[in-house]
Amino acid sequence: MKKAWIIFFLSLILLSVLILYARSVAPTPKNIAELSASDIGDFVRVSGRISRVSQKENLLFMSICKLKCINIVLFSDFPKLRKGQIVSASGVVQQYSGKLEIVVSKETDIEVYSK
Amino acid sequence: MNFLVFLGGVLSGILGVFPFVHTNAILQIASSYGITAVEFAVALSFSHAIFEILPSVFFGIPSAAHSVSVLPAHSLAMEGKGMSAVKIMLYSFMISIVFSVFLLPPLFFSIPIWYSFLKPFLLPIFVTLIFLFFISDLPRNAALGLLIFLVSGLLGVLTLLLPITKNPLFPLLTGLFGLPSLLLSIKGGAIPSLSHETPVKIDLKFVAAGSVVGALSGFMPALSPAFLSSIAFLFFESTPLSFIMLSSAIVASKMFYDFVFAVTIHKARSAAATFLLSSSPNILIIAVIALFSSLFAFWAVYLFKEKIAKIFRKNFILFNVLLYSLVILAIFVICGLPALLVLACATAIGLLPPLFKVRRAYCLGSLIMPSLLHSLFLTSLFLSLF
Repeated sequence: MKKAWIIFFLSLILLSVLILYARSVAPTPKNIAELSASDIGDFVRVSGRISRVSQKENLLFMSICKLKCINIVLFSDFPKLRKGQIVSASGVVQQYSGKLEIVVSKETDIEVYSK
Repeated sequence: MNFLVFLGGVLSGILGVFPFVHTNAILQIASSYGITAVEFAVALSFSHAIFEILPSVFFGIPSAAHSVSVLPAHSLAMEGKGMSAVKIMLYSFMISIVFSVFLLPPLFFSIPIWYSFLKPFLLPIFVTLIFLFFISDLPRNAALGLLIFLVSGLLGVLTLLLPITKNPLFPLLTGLFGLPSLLLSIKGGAIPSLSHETPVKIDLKFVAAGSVVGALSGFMPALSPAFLSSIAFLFFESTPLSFIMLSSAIVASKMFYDFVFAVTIHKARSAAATFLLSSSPNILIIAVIALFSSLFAFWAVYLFKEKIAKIFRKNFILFNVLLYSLVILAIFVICGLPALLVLACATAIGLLPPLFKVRRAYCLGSLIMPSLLHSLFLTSLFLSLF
């Protein structure tokens, strides 16, 4: 039992290290037009103008464009966004129904540059 | 149906005898070569699930599919009854596939209706199932179980929802379920000779129950066979043999119905099922592929089980050390350096259930907690704490 508790505290220390590492990971800035299937799983930051935005049942769904468009998904409320605003979004590139999209994990990963 | 692609899927499933060669990894490699056919994904899934029974039993290495039946099955192997365990898992899996196909006509047309009816209640049902999961272990070890559930849940949230590594599931599941078993099995010594075999008798009650539970699991995400088996045993008398029968049946039925749900309600509950989202395959063809690929794998494993088991048994320690090194190398190469940190953390947490003598299924918190946060729309709020 003593060994189990030692390993338990070791796992807590390792979890703390993992949290510190996760906080230090910065997104790679990318142009929307550059994104391809090889970026799936990468943590990227893209910026562009909102061409479409909708909020439904705590799901924010928007499309941002700069030469090309990409869908951005955030599973949370974000009431301030409107069509035409320039924003940057940091998230993980994923593929859904054959299309690339960026899944943003928290609200602070979306920055609004213009009103 | 493209027969060659089907055959390729079935033959690729043989890789299941090598622990840690996960279906998702094979599908990823196949996709990079342009193989995205439904026949391949379905045939591979069933064939792989049957072939991976052998390392599960003899090394106690829980694959994604057989994560819970492994412990009682491996215990039988350590008593010299490994072949009996293999046979029980094989028969239960095959019978469950047949049951699942028989259940298909009534379920296929009613799943969309049931899904739209149940949709508003899915979250409370999901929470109730988690509650039942803990109840099933009361009063014995629920507190320690809860602790492991929360710690593994935190690891799951960090690993799956934050951008730590590109393929988070590989180091996470290997660490939680794979490496601890390898480490403990090295400590436990070699597998005894296969001289204590007993006649195998399948109790159809458990297989039928497993088939039904697996068929209904597609209504919700993140319901693994391990989780479902634990809850199902609230209603049955649990013995190691009945546990193996029920959980193997759940694995087979869930695998089949993951494809059925992808076709009927367009929800993919497994990586292989995502192959069906972009096409509209005929469900009868899926059923035929499932049956034939399982039959082929069943026949091959049944025929060669003794030879493979002998190879495993003779070189048990060597195999374990080799596998251990290979896994660490594979994770480093495929997922990068941060994945090794995830692996170390997951291995430490994965060692806790056997050391605290509680169910390994508590480590499923790593998959359940992210789903739960997601369902409660708390992901963003929770992650902003870090």
